[in-house]
Amino acid sequence: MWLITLWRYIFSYVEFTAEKGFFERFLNLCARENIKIHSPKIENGVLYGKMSVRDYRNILPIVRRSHTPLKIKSKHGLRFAVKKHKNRSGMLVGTAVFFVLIFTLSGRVWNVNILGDPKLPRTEIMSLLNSSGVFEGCSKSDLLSDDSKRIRDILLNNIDSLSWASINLDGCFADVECRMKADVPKAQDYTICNIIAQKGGRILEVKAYRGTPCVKIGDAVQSGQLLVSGAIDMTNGGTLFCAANAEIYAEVDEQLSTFVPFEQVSSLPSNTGIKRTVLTAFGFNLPLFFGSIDYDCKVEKNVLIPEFDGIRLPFKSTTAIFYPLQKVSRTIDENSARKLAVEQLTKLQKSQFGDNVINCSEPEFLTTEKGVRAVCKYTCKENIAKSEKILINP
Amino acid sequence: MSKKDKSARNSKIKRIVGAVGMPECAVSSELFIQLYSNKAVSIEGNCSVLNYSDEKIAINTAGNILKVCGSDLNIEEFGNGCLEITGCIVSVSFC
Repeated sequence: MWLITLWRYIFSYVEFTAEKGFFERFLNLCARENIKIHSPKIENGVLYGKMSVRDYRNILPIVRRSHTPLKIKSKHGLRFAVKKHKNRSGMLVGTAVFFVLIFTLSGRVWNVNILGDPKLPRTEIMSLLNSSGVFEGCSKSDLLSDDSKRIRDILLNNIDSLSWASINLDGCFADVECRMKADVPKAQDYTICNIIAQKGGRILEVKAYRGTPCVKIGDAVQSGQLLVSGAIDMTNGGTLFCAANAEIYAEVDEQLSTFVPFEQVSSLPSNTGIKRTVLTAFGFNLPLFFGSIDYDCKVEKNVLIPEFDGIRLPFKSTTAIFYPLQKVSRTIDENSARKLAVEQLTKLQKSQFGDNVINCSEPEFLTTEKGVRAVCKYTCKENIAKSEKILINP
Repeated sequence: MSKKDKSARNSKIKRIVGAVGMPECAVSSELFIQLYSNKAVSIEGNCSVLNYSDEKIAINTAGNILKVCGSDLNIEEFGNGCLEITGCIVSVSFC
């Protein structure tokens, strides 16, 4: 019944009354002329009824023949609702825009999400997806089963670390699920070998997994000295050769040096920046500026993605502030140069030795005309084991 | 077409319909009346309203007058050879 009510509302109808005339004749003539009257009712000598606007326009001959003048009681329907607001063109435009947006946006991909391991090469995957036609704003029909299979194959063929990929459409969102290949343990090398020292030092710890240890804790060793032998003497007098495997930790002397010139040239960003904004909708960028920036700059980027009820909308605004870099040269004194050199040495020490430093000496400074050279000696704990093949005839 | 020809044609149609096992009312031009309990009556065929009030609706059919009596009677639909009356129906009679 609601469907009939909706139908009548869309095509609009009028409620009418007739107070005099031949009502039955009026009804019969209407029926003969195929004019439908909904719920005609005669009450206290008055005829009530409803009919569509189109039929009401053609009712005049019947009214004359049946001597039943009609009076409109009320008007209902979409036509009258629109007519009421006919001077408000904005509403009409708004309604049209609403329907256009609904039909356009629902057929497009709003977001492309890459799901899976956090170690996935997302940038690489996204660029491959973009080149294959999967991007924000692409048509959903492009991601039908055949196309998604093709794109999945492209991903698996081009990225070696992927073992499985799948593209699923969830409403307006394209979810790209990927799995990384499991790490395969490296096959152990069973070639017959000895373990020798790759650096000279004093032995601190011996972990011989296979082979015959030739050194003990506290021994001093030189570079290339045999640490663990791959030959094992059997009790029956024979000798068994194997691939020696060991971890030998020793105190090793290391040295780091750095040079800090008195003339320091640095690039400093200026205080005033240039603001540039780009609007992105469905993968299309709309720059809100003219020209380009060719010189070196420090860039501060701010991306604003509007969300509605936790759902990312397919629009974003990217604002970048470009601070031009200015080259500033200054001359520093010896003390400042020394301080800088110590800072650089500390950074170098952390990057090269990490926490393996046992002891370090005070840095020695050598001042020249151009700058300060700093040298520092360290004692580190290192694994000095290195395998060396035993050349024997098979 | 004369009355004789018309009746001959009708009887011919009736014979064909009978031969294929179809109900006669499927091709008949006479009234087809359906009564839904005492709440509604549906009339299909050529008819016109002679009298319409809350308690009595008189319908002119081919050769007969059909009277529907009751209370709160309403014509729900009228047109396209179909007339539907709702209300509390007490009697449906030909006269």
